[in-house]
Amino acid sequence: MAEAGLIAIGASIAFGLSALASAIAEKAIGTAAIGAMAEKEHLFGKGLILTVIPETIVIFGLVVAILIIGLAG
Amino acid sequence: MIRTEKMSHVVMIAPKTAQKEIISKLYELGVYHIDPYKKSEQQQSMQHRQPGVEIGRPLKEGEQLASAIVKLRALLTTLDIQRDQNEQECNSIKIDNATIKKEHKINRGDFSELIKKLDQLYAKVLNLLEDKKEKREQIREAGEKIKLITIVKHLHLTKDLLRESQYLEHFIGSLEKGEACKRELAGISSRIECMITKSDEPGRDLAVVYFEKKSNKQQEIAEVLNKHGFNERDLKPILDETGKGKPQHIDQFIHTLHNKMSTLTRQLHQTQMELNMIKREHSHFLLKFEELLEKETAKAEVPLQFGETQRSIIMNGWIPTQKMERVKHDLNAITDHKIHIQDQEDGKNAPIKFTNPAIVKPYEFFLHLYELPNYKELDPTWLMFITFPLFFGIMLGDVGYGLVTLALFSILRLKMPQFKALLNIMIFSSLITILFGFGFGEYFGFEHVSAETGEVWCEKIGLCLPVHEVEMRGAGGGAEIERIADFPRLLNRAHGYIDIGGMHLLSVLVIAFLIGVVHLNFALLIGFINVWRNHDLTHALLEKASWMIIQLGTVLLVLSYGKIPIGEYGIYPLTGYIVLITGIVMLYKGEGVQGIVELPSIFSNMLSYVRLGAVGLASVGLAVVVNEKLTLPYFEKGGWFIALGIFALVVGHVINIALGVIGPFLHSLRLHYVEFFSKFYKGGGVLYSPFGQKQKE
Repeated sequence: MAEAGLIAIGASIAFGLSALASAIAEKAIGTAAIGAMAEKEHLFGKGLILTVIPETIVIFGLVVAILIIGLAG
Repeated sequence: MIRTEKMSHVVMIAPKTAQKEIISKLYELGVYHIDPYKKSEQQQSMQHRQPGVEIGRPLKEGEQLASAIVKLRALLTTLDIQRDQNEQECNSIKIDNATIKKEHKINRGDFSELIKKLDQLYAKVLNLLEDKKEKREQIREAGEKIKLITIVKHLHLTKDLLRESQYLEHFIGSLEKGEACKRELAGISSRIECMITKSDEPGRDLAVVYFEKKSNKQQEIAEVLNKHGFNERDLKPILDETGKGKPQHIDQFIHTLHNKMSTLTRQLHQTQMELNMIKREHSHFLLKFEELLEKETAKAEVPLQFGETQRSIIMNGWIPTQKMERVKHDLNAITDHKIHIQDQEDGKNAPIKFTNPAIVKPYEFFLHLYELPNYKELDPTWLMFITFPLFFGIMLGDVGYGLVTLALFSILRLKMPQFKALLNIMIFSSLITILFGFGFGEYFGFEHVSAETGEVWCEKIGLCLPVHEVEMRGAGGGAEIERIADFPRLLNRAHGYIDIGGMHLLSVLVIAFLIGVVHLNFALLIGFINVWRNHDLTHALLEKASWMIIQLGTVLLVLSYGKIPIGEYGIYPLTGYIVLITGIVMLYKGEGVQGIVELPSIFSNMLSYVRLGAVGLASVGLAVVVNEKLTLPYFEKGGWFIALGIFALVVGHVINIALGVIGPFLHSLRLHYVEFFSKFYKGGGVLYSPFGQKQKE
C-alpha cells in the first residue's frame, strides 16, 4: 500500500511540476502576445500558437505520469 | 474545393478618353482585383529627366462627390438617421438606384441635380439648426431675466434707489449665508441698512447694503462681505428695461417676458417639427444617395491605383480565369476595341478566392484568424471541416453537455447573426460531441445508474440497461461489489485500459496518440504534394518523405529492442538504424541544420495529441466529482439538503460546460495551427477583393 502511495506522489510530482513550468513559460509569452494583439488584432492566430508552444511540456509531464502509473500497475 | 479559384494576371492599357467607361464597366462586373501601381525606385530617381508612368489621378468629379458625401454624412448624423433602422423600410418600399435616377431625371454619371438638391437640403437643415440654437439661447436669457426681476421686485428696488447720491453708498451682490452676514454688519454700525433675499443662484443670497459715505466704514463692510464670498451684481440694465422699476411696470415686464418665452417655445417646437419632417421625408433619399455617392466616389478615386502616362492608363490586377472571356468581351465592346488586355496565368502573388461549398465555408474563419494560404497551396479549410469538430467531439464527448451546447449555440446564432460562421462551426461540433457521448456512454458525467433505477426505467419507459457487478474501491482501500445498470458504450473513457509492452495504459490516450500519428502523416502527405507541385519530386522526397522514413526507422527500432516480431520474423536493430539514418540524412539534405534541430518535434507533436484524451478525462473527472462527491451526499441527507444538492449540481455542471467549451475549442484549434499546419502550411496569401459591387456569396 505504501508503495502505491509513493507511485501516486511520483506521478503527481511529474505532472504538477511540468504544469508549473509550462504555466511560467506561457505567462511571459501570453503577456507579450496580448500586447501585440492590442496593436494588431489579426495577430491572434500567431499569438495563440506562440502562447501554447510551452504546453508541450505539460503533455510530456502527463505522459511521464502515465508511464509511472502504468509501470506500477 | 481543395484548390482556391484559378486566377489570371491581367494587365490592361487603354486611352484616357475611355477611362470613365472602363471604370464603370469594371465596377459593374465586380471581378477585378486591382494591384495598386507602384513606382519603382529607379523610376523615381529618374523622374525629372524622363517623364514615365505616373500614379494616376482621381476623376475630375471626385472632389465634388467627396464634398457632397461629407455634407450627406453630416446630415445623416445631425438628423440621426440610422441605416439598419431604415433598411427594412427601404426594402419594403423598394426604392432602388434606378427609381432615384428616374425620379430625379439624372443621366449617366451626372449627379449635379442630386447634389443641388442635397445642397439645398443641407442649407435648410443648417438654417433650422441655427434657428433652433438661437431660440434656445433666447429662452434661456428670458428665463434668467424673469428670475432676476422677481428678486428686484421682492426687494422693492427702484432705479432711483440705485442712483449715485451725495450721502449714501451701496453694495449689491450675491453672497453665502446672508443672515449671518447681516448680523455681522449690524455689529459694525447700526447705521448700515442690509436687505437679504434669496438669489437666483442656488445656495446663495442676494444682499443690498446701504451705508453713509461719510462714515468711512466702506473698508470694513467690504471685508465682511468678501468673507462671505461676495459677488457684485449690476442690476441697472434690468431696471432700465422695466422703465422706472415701479411695481406695476415690473409686473408688466414679467408678463411680457412670459409671453415671449411661450412664443419662443412654440417656435422652437415648430422648428423641431420641421426637422423631424425633413428626416421623415428625406431619410430614404439620403440613405440611398449615400450608397450611390459611395459607389461613385469609389469609382472616381480608383485611378489612384492605376498608372498613367500622358494619354493612357495602365491597370494591373487579377481576374478569375473562368470570368476572363466575359470581361474581355465586355471591355472591348464598350471601348470599341481600343483597349489592350494581356492576361497570363501567373500564380505567384495571385489573391485567394475560396471555392468551398456552403457547409465548409464557415471554417474559413479559422484561416482568417491565422493566415490565408498562398495561391499555390492547397486550401486546408476542408481538412479543418473534418477534423476540428471531430477533435472537439472526442474531447468533450458527453451527450448531456452536447445537447446543452447545441441549444446554447443555436440560441446565440439567432441572437448574434454577426458571429454566424463561428457559431455554425460550434453547432456542428456539438452534434459530433453528442455522437461521441453515445460512443463513450456518458450523460452529464453519469456512466451508470444504480441497478434499482435501471429496473424502474425498464418498467416505466422500456429503457432496459444491462446490469453489471463492479468492484468499487472505497476511500479506505477496501473493495466492495456493487450492482449497477451501465449505459451501453463502445469505449469507457475513464476506466478503459489496454496493456501495451507490459504497461497498463488508458486506452483513450493510446487512441489519441494514434490519431496524432495518422493526422500528422496526412499533413506530411499534403506537404509532400505542395512541395512537389511548387518545386519538384526530389525536394518533396527530401523535405517531407524523410519525416515518414524517420518514423518508420524509429518504429523498427522499437520493435527490434522490444523483441516484438512482425509475423514470424524478428527484426535486427541494424535494419532500424539504417532506415533511421537514411531518413535523417535525407532531412539534412532537404531542410539543412534546421531540420536536424527539429528532429524531436515530430514525436513531441504526436505526443501532443494525447491531449485529445487527457482534456476529455479532466472533463469526465470534474463531472463525476460534481455528481458523486458533491451532489449525492446532499441528496442522501434529504429534506432541505436536496435544494442545496440541486444548486451544487447546476453550478458544477455550468462550470464544467464552460470549461468544456473553451478547453476543447482552444486545444482543437491549437492542434491544427501548431502541429498540423507546421507540416505543410506556409500561408501569406492575400484575400481576393474585387473592385466594385459586393458579390452575393
